[in-house]
Parts: sequence; structure tokens; C-alpha cells
Amino acid sequence: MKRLVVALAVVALGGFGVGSALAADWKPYTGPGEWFQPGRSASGFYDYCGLWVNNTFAKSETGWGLVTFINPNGNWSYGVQGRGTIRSNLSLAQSRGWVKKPHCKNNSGAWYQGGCFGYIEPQQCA
Amino acid sequence: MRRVLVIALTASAAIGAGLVLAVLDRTTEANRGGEGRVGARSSVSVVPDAGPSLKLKPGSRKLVGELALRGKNLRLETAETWDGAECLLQTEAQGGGASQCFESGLFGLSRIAFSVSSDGGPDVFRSLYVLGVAAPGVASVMLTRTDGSVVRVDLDRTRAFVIESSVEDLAANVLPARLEAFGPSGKRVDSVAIPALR
Repeated sequence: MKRLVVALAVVALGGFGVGSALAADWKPYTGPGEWFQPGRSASGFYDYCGLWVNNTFAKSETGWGLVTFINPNGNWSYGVQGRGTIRSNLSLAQSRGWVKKPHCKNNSGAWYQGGCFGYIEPQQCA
Repeated sequence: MRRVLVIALTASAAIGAGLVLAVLDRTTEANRGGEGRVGARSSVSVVPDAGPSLKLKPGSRKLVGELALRGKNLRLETAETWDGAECLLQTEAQGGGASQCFESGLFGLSRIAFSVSSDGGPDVFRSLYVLGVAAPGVASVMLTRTDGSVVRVDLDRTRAFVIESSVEDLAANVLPARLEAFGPSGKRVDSVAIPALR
């Protein structure tokens, strides 16, 4: 009986960890399939306690849009613009040492549907 | 047997609870308007070199070319995702990069698949380049810039191209405005307007 309880605890804790790890780090910062009118933009949160390594704008492939990372002074880095689904990827080395938030924008003159999300590498907070 | 069943059910419930909590965490952040702090969390890194959100069909990556820019070298590839989209991948030698995927294929929408990559801005960009690949039958591409100047590039057999803005052009806010594709006879076969980059 004691062995069963230990096994259950191990499995439960492990399973909880697996579930959290699988789903915790994708961070949408708009809803999926939202309408983007011309000029509409959205931003995620600053990575004070993590490292953004991806910024993706999944959208109608005829629509132009941009993704970039913005630091607290408003400066842009690692921007990509184009049609289709666009992604900007940072290596951990590129992401370390500066605070940033992911940003996406419909910089075209047309309406379209899309969603913006990114991937954050968890880091220990100081 | 019953013991195994109990363990299996408990494991499923725990995994489910983990997923639900993670999704709730995500939803809460979205409801905060996307502003907030990420708590310390330990997790397994799942970042493949094409970027975490890209699930590529095994064996579909094809090297188009390697391109040298000011301060960095880029590897340009095409690939297919598991759900059938075709992508243009740019990878920097030191890691990181960008990608662009089309459900209708690289040339379903246009004879030129390209993106504009930049650093700096939004007021003045520090670096900026137009990078892409043209469909078979395209012999050259021409970039028209906001000051009316043009840059024409004859394509080699890879049909890859990169047009990088000079520091002077960026300081003067001269930016890409239109990209056109031409066949071997010089006939224009496609023209794509590039919207304002901000």
C-alpha cells in the first residue's frame, strides 16, 4: 500500500510537471483569428523574468504585417515584415541582456484576420 | 490490474490539471492586456533551430544559398511544414533568424516570395534588407525605393536575392517601396507594393 502511495505521488507530480511544461511557455498576446484593421498593433509583456526567443504573426497570407521586439525605450529590434505567417527567432545569446516585449502590427491598408504569439524561455528571477 | 488503472487515471488527471493551469495562466496574462511579469519557472527547452513555432516536414529543408550582409551571414532555405505550407527560412550563423510561410506555396500568391528584415526603428532603422527567392522563369528583380531610386538584381540559378539598404539611405529614411520581377526578355511578370515599414 505504501509503495502504491509513493508511486501515485511520483506519477502525479511528474504528470503535473509534464502538463505545465508542455503548455506554459507559448504566450499569445492577441486572440486567435482576431480582426486586424489597418494600423492595428498589439504587444506582449516585457521579459523581466524570462527570455523571448520567438515572435510570430499568423495571418491571412495576402496581408502585410510586421513583428518586432521593443525595448522599454521604444526602440525596435529583430523586425520582420511580409505576407503570410511571419516569425522572428532569437537565439538565447541574442535574447539575453536586454528587456523586450514582442510586438505585431498590420502595417497594410487592408483588413485581415490573424493572431500574434511568442515563445518565452523561462529564467530564474533575481 | 486495478492498481495500474488507478495510476494511469491519476497520471492523466495530473497532466490535465497541469495543462489547464498553464492555459489559465496564459488567459490571465491576455486579460491583463499582455502586460505583466513571468514568474520563475523551470521547464524543458524545446527550441529547434528553425524556431519553436515551426514544425517542418522531415527532409523538406533545402538550401537556397548563403548570403553575406553587413555584419552577418545568412543561410537561406526553403522548407515545408507538416501541414503543407511552404516556408522561406533565414538563419543567422550565430543563431536566430526569421521565417515566412505560405499555405498556398511560396509562389501561390506572387512570383517573388520575400520579406523585409530590419533592426532599429521605428524612427530610423539601423539596418534593413529585402530578402527572398523568385519563381522559376524570373530573371531579375528590381526594388524601387521611396526616393524613386531603383536597385536591379540579376538572379543566378538559385534565384535568391538580397538587397541591403546603405547606412546613408537609412539615415535619410529612404526605404523600400515596391519590388518587381522580370522574365528573361525583360518583361515585367509581377509587382508587389511594400507598405510603409512602421
